[in-house]
Amino acid sequence: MKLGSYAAPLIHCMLRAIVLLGFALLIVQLKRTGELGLFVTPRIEQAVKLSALGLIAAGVHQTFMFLRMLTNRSQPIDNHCECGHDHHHDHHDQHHHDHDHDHTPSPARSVLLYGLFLLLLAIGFLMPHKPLDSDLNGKLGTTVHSHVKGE
Amino acid sequence: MPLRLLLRWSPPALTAGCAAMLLLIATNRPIYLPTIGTAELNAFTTIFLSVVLEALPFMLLGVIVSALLQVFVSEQAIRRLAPRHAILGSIFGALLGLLFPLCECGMIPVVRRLIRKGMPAYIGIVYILAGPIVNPIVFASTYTAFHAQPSILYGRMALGFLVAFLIGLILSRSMKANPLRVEHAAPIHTHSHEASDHIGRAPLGTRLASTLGHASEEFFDMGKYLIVGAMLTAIIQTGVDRSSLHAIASHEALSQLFMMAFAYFLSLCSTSDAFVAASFSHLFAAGPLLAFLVFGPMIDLKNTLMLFSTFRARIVIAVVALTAVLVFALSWLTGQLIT
Repeated sequence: MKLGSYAAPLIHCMLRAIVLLGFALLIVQLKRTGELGLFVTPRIEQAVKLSALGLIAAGVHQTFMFLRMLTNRSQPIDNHCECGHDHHHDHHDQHHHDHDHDHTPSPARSVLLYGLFLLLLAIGFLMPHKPLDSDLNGKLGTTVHSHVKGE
Repeated sequence: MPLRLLLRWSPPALTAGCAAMLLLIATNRPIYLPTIGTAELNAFTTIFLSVVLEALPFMLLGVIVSALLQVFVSEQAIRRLAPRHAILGSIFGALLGLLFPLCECGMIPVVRRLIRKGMPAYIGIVYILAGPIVNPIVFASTYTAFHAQPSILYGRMALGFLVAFLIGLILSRSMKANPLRVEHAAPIHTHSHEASDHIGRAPLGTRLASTLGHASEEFFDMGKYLIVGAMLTAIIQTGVDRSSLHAIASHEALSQLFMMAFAYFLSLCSTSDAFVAASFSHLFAAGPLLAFLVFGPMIDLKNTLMLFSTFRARIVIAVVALTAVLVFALSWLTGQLIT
């Protein structure tokens, strides 16, 4: 199913939307099961919950981009910009930035990149989360936070 | 392409592996592999997710601020703000964190943005060094973690400022060329629009959407370093044995070096590392603790990876070396003064 120049930005948008929304979902899930306190201090907890909102906003944005690209096949899609740029050359005065990213990473690097994030999500969702056991304290050089020690 | 690489390197790699095995059998040493039981896996997961989740808000803040800067702030404003004089510039860079308290995760895209918009490069680097320390959030977290030892807090702030300031002076003299890495230019897009002409025109909605898009891109750009760094942190923290730490802590120079190396590999966000240091306060003296608290936010594994992707290799190496030497010496000195 070769979509030509449409394929790459489309897939990037989709993957990003999945990762961003998945991440937000992970935070929500951890909050529901009460496990969020296992990982972050109470002060940061509020910030993390806020971050979930930010992630949702970004994820929704990517989803919109994805849908728009799906339905607007007739419009020439700029292959050099990732879908976040929304870069139409006839609207120069709306946009001013200097490109400082390599916009077309090779498929291998993209696989690694999104794979990394998906691995994070997999670990977050699938691995059981328990408070660190006290018998492990002899093994650990340190603990991340005292409340994570599980005492 | 990767397949070709794999095919090319597998035979030598396997040979090396076999040789290593033979060597171990020959010297008849028991192989101390870390036992990977459920406890260790759980510790790994906990630490890994901990680091990622704690860094996340600050990283998001960083990419959002970076994207906002890109979309809303014109080049003229930045050029006007930053002082030209070497001393004032270094002070400005070192105190900038008070205005823009970003975790090191988000700071580098912002600085890259600012340097491209005309801010003197050495000020940007000073900000990267001092920003993660001289800012209100880290002040608060360090104060909380060390309320029994406020001298550590003041030492941290003072040293953070001083080391960055000194490096700024040195760089302003010796760094002439553009320190940023030359990016692979996308062939068609060589826009160099003047920002100030266009900002006022675009509707707010479009600009906000543009901000979100840029922020998402930066998130993935920088996030990969955070995840790799978090993974390494978790692996190291799960693998090190506590009793060996006692031996190191008693040696004066070694404890200093160890805490700096430790901070380097932990790559913790500067807001949470105070609690890690606090858990060590009964083991290590003030000097090593300060070294941990000052070197870590400035230079660490995760940071170094990001720096190498943004700046030229020579500059990164110079900055890392300078920082290491200054932090080592000054934190030892301050430690002596405090105790």
